[in-house]
Amino acid sequence: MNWFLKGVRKGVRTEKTPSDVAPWSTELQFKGIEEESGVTSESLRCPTSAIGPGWIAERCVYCRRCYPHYQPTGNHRMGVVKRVEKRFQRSFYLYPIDVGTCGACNTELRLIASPQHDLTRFGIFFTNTPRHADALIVMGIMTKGMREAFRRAYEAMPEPKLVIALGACAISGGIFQTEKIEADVVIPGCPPSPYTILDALIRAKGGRGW
Amino acid sequence: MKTRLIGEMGGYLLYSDHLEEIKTTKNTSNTSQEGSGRPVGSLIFQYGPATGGLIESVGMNIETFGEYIRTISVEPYKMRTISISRSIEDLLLSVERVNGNFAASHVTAFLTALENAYGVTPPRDVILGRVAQIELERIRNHLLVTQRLTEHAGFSVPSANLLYLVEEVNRVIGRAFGHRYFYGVNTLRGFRMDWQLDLPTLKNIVDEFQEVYRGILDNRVFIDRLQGNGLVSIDDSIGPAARAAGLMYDARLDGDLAEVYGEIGFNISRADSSDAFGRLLVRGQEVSESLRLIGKLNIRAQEYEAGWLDAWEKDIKGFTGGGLGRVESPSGDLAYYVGIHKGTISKVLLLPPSKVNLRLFCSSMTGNVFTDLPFNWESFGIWMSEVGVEFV
Amino acid sequence: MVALIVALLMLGLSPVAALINRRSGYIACSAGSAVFVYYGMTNYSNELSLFYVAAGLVWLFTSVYSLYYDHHRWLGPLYTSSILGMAIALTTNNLLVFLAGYEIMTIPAYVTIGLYKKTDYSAFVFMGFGELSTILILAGFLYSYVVTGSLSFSPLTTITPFMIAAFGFMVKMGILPFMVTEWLPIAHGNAPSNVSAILSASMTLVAVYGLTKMALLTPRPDLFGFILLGVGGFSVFFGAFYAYVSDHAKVLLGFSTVENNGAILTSIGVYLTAPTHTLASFSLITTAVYVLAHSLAKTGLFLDTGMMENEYLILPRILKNRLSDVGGVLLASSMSGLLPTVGGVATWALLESLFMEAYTLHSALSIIPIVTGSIIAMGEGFATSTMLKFIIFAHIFNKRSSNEKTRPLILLLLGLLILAGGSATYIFYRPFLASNPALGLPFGLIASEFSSQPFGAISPLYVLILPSLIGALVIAVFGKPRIRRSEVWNSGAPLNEAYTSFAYSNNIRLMLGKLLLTHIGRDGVKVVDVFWSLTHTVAKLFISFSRHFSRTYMNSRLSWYVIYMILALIVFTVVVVA
Repeated sequence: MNWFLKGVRKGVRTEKTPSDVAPWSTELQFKGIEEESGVTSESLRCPTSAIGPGWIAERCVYCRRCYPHYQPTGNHRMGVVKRVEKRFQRSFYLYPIDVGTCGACNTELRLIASPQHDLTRFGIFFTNTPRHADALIVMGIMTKGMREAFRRAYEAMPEPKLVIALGACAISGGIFQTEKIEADVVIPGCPPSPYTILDALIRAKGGRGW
Repeated sequence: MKTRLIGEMGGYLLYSDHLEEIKTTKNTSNTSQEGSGRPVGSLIFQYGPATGGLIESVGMNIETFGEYIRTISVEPYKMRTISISRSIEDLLLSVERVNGNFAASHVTAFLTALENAYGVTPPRDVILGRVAQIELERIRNHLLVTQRLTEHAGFSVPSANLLYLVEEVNRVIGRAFGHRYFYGVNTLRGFRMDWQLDLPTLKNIVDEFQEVYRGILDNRVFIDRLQGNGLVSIDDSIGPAARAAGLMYDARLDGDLAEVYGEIGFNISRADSSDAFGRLLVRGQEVSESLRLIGKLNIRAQEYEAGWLDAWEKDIKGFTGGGLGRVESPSGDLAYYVGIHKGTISKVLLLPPSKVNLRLFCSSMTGNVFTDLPFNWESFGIWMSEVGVEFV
Repeated sequence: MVALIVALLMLGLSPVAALINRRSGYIACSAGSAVFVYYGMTNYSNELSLFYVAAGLVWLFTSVYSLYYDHHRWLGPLYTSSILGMAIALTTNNLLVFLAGYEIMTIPAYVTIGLYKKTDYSAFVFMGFGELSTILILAGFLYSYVVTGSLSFSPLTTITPFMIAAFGFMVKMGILPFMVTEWLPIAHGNAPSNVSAILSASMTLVAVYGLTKMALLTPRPDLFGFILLGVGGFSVFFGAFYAYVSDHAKVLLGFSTVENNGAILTSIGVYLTAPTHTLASFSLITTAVYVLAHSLAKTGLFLDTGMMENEYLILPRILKNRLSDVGGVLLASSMSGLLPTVGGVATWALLESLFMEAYTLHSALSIIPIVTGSIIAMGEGFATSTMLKFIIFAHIFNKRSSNEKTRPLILLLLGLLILAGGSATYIFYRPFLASNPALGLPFGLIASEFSSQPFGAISPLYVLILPSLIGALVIAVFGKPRIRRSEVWNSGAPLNEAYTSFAYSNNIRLMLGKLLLTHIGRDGVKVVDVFWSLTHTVAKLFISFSRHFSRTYMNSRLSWYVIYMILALIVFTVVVVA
């Protein structure tokens, strides 16, 4: 059968609202067993010092050692948007650059294009060159080999431009405890789920999130 | 079964039944060979590191005199180092992140190496849980590889269909294990599961995949891009590439989990064309086989009293030794060697499948043209993340 | 007539002057050429007069250029005598004087090529084919004498002399013996640039002139006309095709000459087979305009290669600046048949005449011009890519710049002449013009008329005006564009090696591997010119035969035999001229 008809026959598979999120990629919250002040990164053996005071989203790699003191809430809207660029409201082109990932951020970012999420309905698109990009999505730890490429990509982009750091490695060095990358939009998670990514991207261009 | 060479692992050659120190240096560089010297009009065409077209950062130096690829060398730009002087639990978290898409395979190989070093065997349920994770990973990876191939061909409908299915597999994994990439799932004492594995949904996914898969196999234009592209038929190949060439190479037959696989009745999938097309055929069969295996496992969350761990904690200075763990990751043999000196980890050696596949890719590129490059690349299922990792 | 005598005198003096002082020789030659152009313009009788203008302009520009280029003692005298020979051949009405001029123009060229490369190979190739051409033309002329009893160019009642001479001229044009032959690129590519320019631009022009002149005197030969038409189309395709896969700048231009001569031959073919008088005159104009376009552009491009330190486009090392960049781009666009240059008008007119012919023939024969037109269109595609390759690797990608002004200025002037010439030829030649008031287009904005109906495209003048007008308008409305300069994006890596010209055309080497017998080996890609290897095989057979012959009967060295041949021909020409 013709592929077009095959596609039509499958029907619309795009989700109106986020529906199925893996718990250990969402916000963690203290579920009082003891006093919260008594629970620290040291006492929970948190590998990235993501506890205390409270839960620090940017550092968390979801190793679950803090369980059951901290438990997932199911809230995926963890992205922090420091700068909103309203000019990208209708068309927001992303250039992803992997500076040292494990590959999970890459696939999760790729999956925002899956029919369930469908980034294009929000006016978000991928581009293959920084020349056409509005935002640079950087993921992974900053490795020696990729530092130069990252700089070039940033310089190749036209103004105005946003830098979006995706995943714990880029934001805080993650489990590898390396340098953090300065960014206008920070998307926590290890890796961040497609919901978290899309929500932050929509808010970065002046939307209300997803 | 015949001993087979798997690959090089930090100064050692790994065979299917032993590890051998390298005495003479053998050329294992990621460069395809054709002639020496540079012919007139040739140039090194640099593709990458930030290619845009491929999923990860990778640099390719393509020697060409236009269209025709003479030699190719692949440079892993993102080189990460992992410190082994951390606590073993933290090291396990790093091992998960050597390659996110093969996290369960990496963790299983690493833990098996440790367990082999101490000579202990975890409970059967733990092993079954690991097998289930690896097979789930395999289904997802093969779906993703097929999706990448269709995407490069501009084959939009199947590409979207497959991306949908990859996301669905991720959701099945996420619901059962709490994390879509098995991060934080495996511990030294077992593995965590939040929920029953949703087998009916998984079966629907695989059924839908088979429907799409049959559809793309009917498309002559698509198949033409794969057939005759990236021929490898050498003895030291691994994984789907070896099986596509008809070889009986699979760590599920001779690796550390072979016994379990044997008991649940694993059938090897093979093809008789050693090109990108053959590799796709093998993957197509393996998706169904993996589903069948998972269906037989009936896994549930497990924690156990790891005796060796207590011994470790008590007897800090006492143990010296080492162990090898080898499993069949979605892209082929994956092996860890863990050396322990007086109770602390002194050496971690890794043989990631992508390293071997990278060499196979390079050797199969001579004579190809630019257009065929992405198809051949994706057909191997290479992840640069695991190639660029060094344990220090 | 006075102008002609002055021109010939000055040109005749120039070899002598060049022997004494190189510069004075070139100056005399330039002056003579200028007068020759003047003669062509003031004594305009028919389309053939345009040949004088074209040839004169080629000599003028090349001679002025040579003032800043020549570096060999013998080059000046040889170069100027060759031009003298052409001038004689172009202006005479006597068959034998024409032939003498033809030889005077050819013989110095052998010597120059021999001196330049210090190898016999290219010079002998040129000589061999040059003499083959002369012999065929001589045979044709003798036949003409037998038929008419006159030694002048006179109307003929049979086409046989034309046919024989046509083969001779076609050899000179690089079209025979095998439609496309590498002898012309080999010879033209192995000469100093100024000589290459006159070889490729005006020496083949003389051959075209002879062919056209004979064609005008001959009854319309239907079948032979179609043969010429088809052979021309074939040469366009293969000339452009081989030019595209050539990496030697001059060889590339040599093949491009074959391509252009093919187009001219097709145009002559249309003239010979045209069913109506209108079409015949249209195609004659097309021939003349094509000659003008090719001569000027090819001269400019060959002179451009004179500024190269290395003649391979892989490593062009050309001295260039803004002047020669603009000049080069204009010349290359004319060469690739783009409007509004003369080359554009010529290409358009050729395709137009083929379509008109197909339209008017209105029979099964219509298929011939249609198919030829399609083949030429395909060839023009290669020609455009070829010129793009030339200009990109010689000028655009090349970062070396020089402060030299004179030679680049000559190039720029030629380029501007070609640009202006596009609209000029068009306004000058009435059949190119038509208007269509119904479409609201005033006089001259629709090209060519047929049966009182507009037939064809939009005029070059329109193409020239429209973009400039739109550009000016955009700037007027939006102001000067803001420009941000940034590094070239190369997937995140610094720029290392540049794409080579060889790689640029390698796609065709691989795709049309069957045609080129592409072989990929350890040392790279090799292609075989099928036509040349055929020629080569024949030549080898001939050599072994003649070697046998000379051993048996002449008992001497082959090279002596060759020298003897040259001497004999010189003596012959001197006798004839006297």
